[in-house]
Amino acid sequence: MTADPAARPETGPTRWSRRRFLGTAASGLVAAGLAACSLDQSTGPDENHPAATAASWAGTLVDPPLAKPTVTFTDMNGKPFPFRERTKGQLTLLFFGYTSCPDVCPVTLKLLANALDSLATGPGSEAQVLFVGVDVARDTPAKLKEYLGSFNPTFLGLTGTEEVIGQANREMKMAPIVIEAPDKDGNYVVGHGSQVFAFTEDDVAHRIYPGDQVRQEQWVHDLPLLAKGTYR
Amino acid sequence: MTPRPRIPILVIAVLATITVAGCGSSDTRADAAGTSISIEYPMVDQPANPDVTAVRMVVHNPTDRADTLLSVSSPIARVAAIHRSEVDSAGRSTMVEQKDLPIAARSDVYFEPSGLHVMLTGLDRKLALGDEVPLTLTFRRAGKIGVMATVVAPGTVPETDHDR
Repeated sequence: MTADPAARPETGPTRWSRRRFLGTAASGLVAAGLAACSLDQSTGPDENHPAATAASWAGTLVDPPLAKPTVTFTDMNGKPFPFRERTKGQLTLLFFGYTSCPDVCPVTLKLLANALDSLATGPGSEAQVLFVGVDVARDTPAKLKEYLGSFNPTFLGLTGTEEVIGQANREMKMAPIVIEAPDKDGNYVVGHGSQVFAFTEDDVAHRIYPGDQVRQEQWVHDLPLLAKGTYR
Repeated sequence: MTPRPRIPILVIAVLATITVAGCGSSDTRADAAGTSISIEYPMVDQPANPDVTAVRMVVHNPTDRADTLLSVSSPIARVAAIHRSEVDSAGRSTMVEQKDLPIAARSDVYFEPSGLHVMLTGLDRKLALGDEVPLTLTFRRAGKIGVMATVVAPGTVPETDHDR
């Protein structure tokens, strides 16, 4: 069959459709971020962000802003990580997920990693990405280190007891984490909020981003502004 | 502002040898008069967690008959499960296994980031970019279809301008 996709002629029976492939997320979330091949002038929500350089803010403005979690996590080296103390005054992107997640989590982290690569050493590149591994049985500190290191060496993983993670999850006003029963193969699905919370230097989050739905250029647009302490 | 064509890195990776007029026309199927189901653009995300990854592809059914995707398997994975990423009523991201996935007549079913994917678990080897992963898809009518999927950077690698 299609052993070598790169060799497929452009006129092959299934032309890759950018819009179909990335824009029709089954998640039910607005696919605003996932703009398409714009040549077809689609009338989707993409029209707000038609160009490769995002012109306006992504994510959702939250007013009043969200405070940081009050908990002390455990970091990738097994050391305590008092969240507020360790992130004080710093542009911080907080995301809850699990390392056995094949789709939404790696997609979100890769988007962030690519955006930071794109920012290089410029404003916004100092954003600290913090990933909370909510699947405490599998998201060990060592696993988090290996996992996050594959995206960006600056990404930090956090874990903790179910109580600590549950409290942080509540404080971020997300629905409770659901760890489903294992199937016959021992695999299990974890339901978790996949928002990215952007904490600015005032130590609150004015903006929340739908992790896997944000385009790289939207991060590249927003992060330097967030780094200045602006959010609207 | 004139929209500029964009194309994601992953598509560039896949279409590397193709002149990138890729976005230049709409999603036509003018020559879709095929006689059997085919699997287009099979890709496997390079695993961040070495135990798990996702397969992306398009199941192309040019025929007038609906079919059903019963299962997927790979010799490199202990388990291959067809999943769809969804957001539940409480706003949580979750995944729902798709048993007996319908493939409508004259349709393309997209296995896409944040949507349908084949979750591979229990991988027996490390996967590097460009590696080829054998997959077998079993359809109720079309039977078994073998395909080689290429390892690519994870998921929705964001788009970039192909002309910059």
